[in-house]
Amino acid sequence: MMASLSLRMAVGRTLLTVAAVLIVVWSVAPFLWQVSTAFQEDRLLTAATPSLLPSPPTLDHLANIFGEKQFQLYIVNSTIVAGSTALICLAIGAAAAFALARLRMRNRFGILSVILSVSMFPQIAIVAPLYLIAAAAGLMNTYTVLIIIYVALGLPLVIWVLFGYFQTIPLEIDEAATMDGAGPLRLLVSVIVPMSLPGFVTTGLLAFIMAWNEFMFALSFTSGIKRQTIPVGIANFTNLYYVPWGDIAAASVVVTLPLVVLVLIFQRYIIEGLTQGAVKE
Amino acid sequence: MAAVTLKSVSKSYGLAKVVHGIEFAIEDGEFVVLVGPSGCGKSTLLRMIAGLEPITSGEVVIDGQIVNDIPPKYRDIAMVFQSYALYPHMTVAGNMGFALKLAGLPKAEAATRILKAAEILGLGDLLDRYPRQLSGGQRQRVAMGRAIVRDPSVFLFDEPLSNLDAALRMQMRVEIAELHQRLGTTMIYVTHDQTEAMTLADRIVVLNRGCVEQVATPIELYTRPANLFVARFIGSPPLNLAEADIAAITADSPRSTEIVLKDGTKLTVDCGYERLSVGQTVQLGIRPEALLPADDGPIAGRVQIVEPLGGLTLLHVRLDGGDTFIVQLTGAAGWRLGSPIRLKAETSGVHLFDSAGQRIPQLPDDVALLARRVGAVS
Ligand SMILES: Nc1ncnc2c1ncn2[C@@H]1O[C@H](COP(=O)(O)OP(=O)(O)OP(=O)(O)O)[C@@H](O)[C@H]1O
Ligand SMILES: [Mg+2]
Repeated sequence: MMASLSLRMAVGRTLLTVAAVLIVVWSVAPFLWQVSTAFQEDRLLTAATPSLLPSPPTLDHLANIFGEKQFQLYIVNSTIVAGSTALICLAIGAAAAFALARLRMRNRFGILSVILSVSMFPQIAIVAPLYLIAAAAGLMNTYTVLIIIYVALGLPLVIWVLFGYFQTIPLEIDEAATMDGAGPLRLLVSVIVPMSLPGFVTTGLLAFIMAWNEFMFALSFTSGIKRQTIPVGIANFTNLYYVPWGDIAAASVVVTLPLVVLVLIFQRYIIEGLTQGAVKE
Repeated sequence: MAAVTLKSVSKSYGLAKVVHGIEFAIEDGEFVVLVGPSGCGKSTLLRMIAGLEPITSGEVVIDGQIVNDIPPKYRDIAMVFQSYALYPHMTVAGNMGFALKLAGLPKAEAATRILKAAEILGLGDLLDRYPRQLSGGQRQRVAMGRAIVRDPSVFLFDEPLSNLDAALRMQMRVEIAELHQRLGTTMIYVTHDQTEAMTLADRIVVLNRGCVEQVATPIELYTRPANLFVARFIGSPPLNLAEADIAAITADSPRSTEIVLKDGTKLTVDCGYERLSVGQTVQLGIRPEALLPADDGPIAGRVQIVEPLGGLTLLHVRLDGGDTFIVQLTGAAGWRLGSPIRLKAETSGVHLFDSAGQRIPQLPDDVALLARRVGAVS
């Protein structure tokens, strides 16, 4: 009995480990291939037997994208657009989620469903109308137009996640703050937001990544290196005669790094436990 | 400091009416405890006084002012919650100072007040800690500190001690009593715990299904419960109840009343009762400590369970008629299971209730009556 139980546990654990390894390989392998490609010489990339380890490794592609192709300009554009998107999403989203979660409000779930349905439009269907509006408003080729669109796209998710987060905060905290003399705004800023930092970090990162990676709208609404974002920039590398795989790979690796760094920096917030000690569970 | 008056205060959630026209007045500086079974509307009532819950009808008057439409922050009330509801991202000092900061108090004065409150509550060394670094009792104290620093005119407590273990609860109970003596502020306190209610209260309000059953001092509540509900609710172990008939009434002094239990047991108490007639069926209630073993006692039964509590012993006695009475004795007398026992009842612990459950008051006994008359003449 005992033996078979521990045997079953051992088998279960082995299967779990194998599954975990498979999933990690599945998700990391393309990225590793990308990294490897970024440091290979062009002629080796098209060799009959490609090798994972670059030999000899080269920094040509990196030099190329920053020197000749001015990739840093795209990075600046993307940082401005994605950073503003994340901040604005958080500000609007926090206010909306707070109102939905905490204030006396009629039909809050109806409102939440409408908000969610906004994110269900096929994006390709709204490119053309948005194009006309942006052109009429004189917003073509600006950061503003991208930020507005990305905020609209990102808000539903941000509101839903923050709404869920706010709901986990006990109502008695609100009431205590009310007794202490806090109005709704003070309550949001001084109590609810600090208590929801993990939720803010997570949703902020998601909104940032969404804006950082978005391609279709960026391609449609911007032209020229002054305003184009990274995905469009990488697409520009390709010309009529030639696909510079090495440069593309190098650029992809470079733009992934900030995301990794952001996640690492905020990692300690993306854990639960900030509400510990507030109320007796 | 302020008096609080409730004038036929009612509360409905949609169609469900949960508080029915509550009416009572709390004097300035008084310590009033609200008790009642779960769901009877204690918290709702407290929250209406606090302003956290709109009042459906009636008036709440604080310090002479109708506050129905005044938001909580202008009512000058502090509340201590059952779950403490501390701000987890603020230190102890931050928690206590939050209200002062919002009120725009100068930093120096706020700091002085926080220090003073911390000293009263023994939190002096913990001011820089976060709530998660505190024990349950310490968190409780911070919650009280948050109320104290504001120096409000009324304190509200909603079962503040129910999350603490027994020893700590007793300690905090004493501390709350001291706090009230020290501050002299009006306090309204909700609890399930009878001991808390009896020891802390100047007066107790007994609630049942959103109505007031009785408002009285703890002793009065215990010795003269207005009805069966209060009699059963107050007192632990609870009052022994049995149906009985009135067999005879001696109206002349010395008065006496003969009560017959359903099994034929005859009980004679040496006092009279208002509006009682021979043949009337009543509910007889006897406090456990008013039942005493006596060889010639009228009530006969057998000891079924013995619960030694140290200084006290509880006997569950099965009467020959089938009812079970609980007897509370001082000391640890050697009662055995199954041994026969005879009991007599002390008049002071015998209560009669009519068919509607209302108390039938005892006539003041003649000696006391005489004494009072003499007092009135001289
Ligand atoms: N938001 C609400 N909507 C509908 N009914 C409610 C609401 N809040 C409370 N009630 C009802 O009002 C009644 C009184 O509730 P309340 O919380 O005041 O009881 P309580 O006496 O404090 O009970 P406890 O001792 O368990 O805390 C209960 O029957 C409860 O179901
Ligand atoms: Mg309650």
